[in-house]
Amino acid sequence: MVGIGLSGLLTTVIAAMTLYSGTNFARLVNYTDMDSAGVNAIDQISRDIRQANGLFAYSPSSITLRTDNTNQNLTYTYSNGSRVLTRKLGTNAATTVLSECDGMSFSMYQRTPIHGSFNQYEPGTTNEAKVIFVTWNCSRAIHGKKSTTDNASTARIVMRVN
Amino acid sequence: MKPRINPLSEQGNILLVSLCTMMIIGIALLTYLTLAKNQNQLVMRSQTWNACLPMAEAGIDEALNHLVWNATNMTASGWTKSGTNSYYRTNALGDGYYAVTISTNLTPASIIATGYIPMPGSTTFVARKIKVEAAMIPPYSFAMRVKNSVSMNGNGCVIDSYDSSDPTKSTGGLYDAAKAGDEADVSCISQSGNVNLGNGNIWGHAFVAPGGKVTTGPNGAVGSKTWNQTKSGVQPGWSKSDANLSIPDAKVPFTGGVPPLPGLVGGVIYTAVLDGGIFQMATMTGKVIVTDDSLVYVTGSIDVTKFVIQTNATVRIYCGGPSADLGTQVNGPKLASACMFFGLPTCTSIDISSDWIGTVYAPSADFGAAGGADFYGSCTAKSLTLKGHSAYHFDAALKKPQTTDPGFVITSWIEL
Repeated sequence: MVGIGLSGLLTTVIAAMTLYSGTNFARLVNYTDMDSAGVNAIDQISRDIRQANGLFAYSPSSITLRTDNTNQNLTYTYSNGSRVLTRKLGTNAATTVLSECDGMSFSMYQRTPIHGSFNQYEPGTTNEAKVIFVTWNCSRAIHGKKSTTDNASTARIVMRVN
Repeated sequence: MKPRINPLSEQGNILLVSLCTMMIIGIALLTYLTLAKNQNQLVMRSQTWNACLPMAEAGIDEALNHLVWNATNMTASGWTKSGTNSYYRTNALGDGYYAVTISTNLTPASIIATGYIPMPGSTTFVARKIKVEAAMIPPYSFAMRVKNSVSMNGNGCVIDSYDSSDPTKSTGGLYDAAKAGDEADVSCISQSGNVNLGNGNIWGHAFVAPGGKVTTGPNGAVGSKTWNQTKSGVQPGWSKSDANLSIPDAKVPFTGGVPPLPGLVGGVIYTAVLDGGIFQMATMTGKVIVTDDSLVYVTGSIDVTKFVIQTNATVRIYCGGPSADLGTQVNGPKLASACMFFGLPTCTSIDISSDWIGTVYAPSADFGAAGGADFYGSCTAKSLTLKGHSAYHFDAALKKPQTTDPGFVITSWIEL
C-alpha cells in the first residue's frame, strides 16, 4: 500500500511537472515565434513606409501609400474580426503580414516637430503627413486561454522623400 | 535472514528508466537552450539589420554634403572616380562602415549607399543598400520667406510672379502684368506668425507653421491665377500649415576690403563707384554706381538716393548697420540675380520707396515697401509689409537650378 501510494504521488508530481514544463515550453515557443513574426512585420512595414513618397488614404486601421518604385498604391489594412494585418500592392492579392493581432492602430503626423519634444504636429490632411506611427499587440492562446502576449511592437517611421 | 538481491533484469529496468529520464531532461534542456539561442540570434540580427540603415544613410548624408560643397570638384575630400559613371567614397563609423557612390550625371544625382554592420561576436557583416535620387534645387525656391509675418495693408497689394528668362512670362525680361503667373509661394515659419492679406492677393501658395494662420479680407485671395481673378478667400489646396524651414543668419563675408572711390561716370558724380572687386565701407550714402562685378560690405547703415547697376555688372551688398534705405534703383541687366542684398543679424530694417529689382536675404530685418513701390525678385526677411499700392513680383527665373551653387533635395528613396 505504501508503495502504491508513493508511486501514485510520484506519478502525480511527474505529471504536474510535465504539464507545467510543457505549457511553459509552449509559451516560450509561442513567444519566440510571435517575436519573430513581429520583427518581420515591422521590418516590412517600416521599409515600405520609409520609401513611400506620400500618404494617399488614412484611417486608424488602414493606410494607403503612394510609391514611386512600383507606381502602384500600397495598402495596409488591419481587420479586427480576423485579427490579421494584410498588405496589398496595386491589384495583387492581399498577403497576410501579421496574424493573431488583438489590436492595431496607425497614426499620422506632419513634418513639423513640437517645440521641446520629440513629437510632431498632427496634419490636417494626408497631404501633410510625413510620419506614420504604428502600434499593435498580439496574443496566442494555449488550451483556449490567452497566455502569451507581444505588446512591445511600436514604430514611428518617417517617409524619406520630400 | 538472507539479504534480498535484485535480479539482473530489475537492475536493467532501473538503468533504462534512469536513462529515459535523463534523455527527457536532456531533450528539454536542449530545446530550451535552442529556443534561447534562436531568440538571442533573432534580437541580435534585428538590431544589426536596423543599425545598417543609419549607417547607409550616413553615406547618403556625406554624398549630399559633397554634392553641395564640391559639385565643381567631385574628386575632392577623399572621393575617387570609380569607373566612368560614378564617384566613390567609403568611411568607417564605429565597428561598421559605409560605401557610397555618386553618379557623374547630376541631373538628377543618383546616390547608392551600402551600410555594413558586423554581427556581434562574428566577422560577418550584415549589409543594407539604399538608392537615392537627388535633384538640384534653386537657392530661391520661394517668392518670399519670412520668420514672423506678412502684412498687406491697402487695396491693390499683390504678390505674383513673372519669369525674366521666359518671353511668354515677361516682356524684355521685365514684369508684364498681362503675363503675370501664380508661382509666388509665400512661407511664414513662426508658430505665431500670420499671413494677413487684407484685400491683397497672393498668386501662389501660402505656407505657415502649425498654429500660424492665413487670413484674408472680403476681397483678398490666395490661389491660382484663375482663382485670384474670379474668387476670393483661400483656394483649397493652396495653403498648408506644415512649414518647417531653416533660415540661418547671413554672415560677414570678409573684413579688410578697400573703400570705393567717388567718381564721374556718364557725366554724373557718384559718391561711390564699385568698379569690380571687394569693397568695404562704413556707410553707403548718396549716389552709387556698379560698373563691374563687385562685392561690398557696408558695416553701417545704407541710405542711398540712387543705385545704378550697369549692364553686364552684378553686385552683392552686405549690410551690418541697423537700417537700409535702398533708394531709386537702375538695374541695367534687368535681373534680380544682378543685385543681391544680404542683411547681417544687426540689420533690422529695410525699406524701398521706388521700384527695385533684386534679391534680399535679411532674416533679422523688417522689410517694407510703400508709396506704390514694386519689388521684383525674391526676399527672405523677418517680416514683410506692403502698403499703399505696392506690389511684389517674384522672378521665377530664380527657381531654376544653378550648377555653380547648387542645393539638392531627395526626390526618390528606395531600398535595394
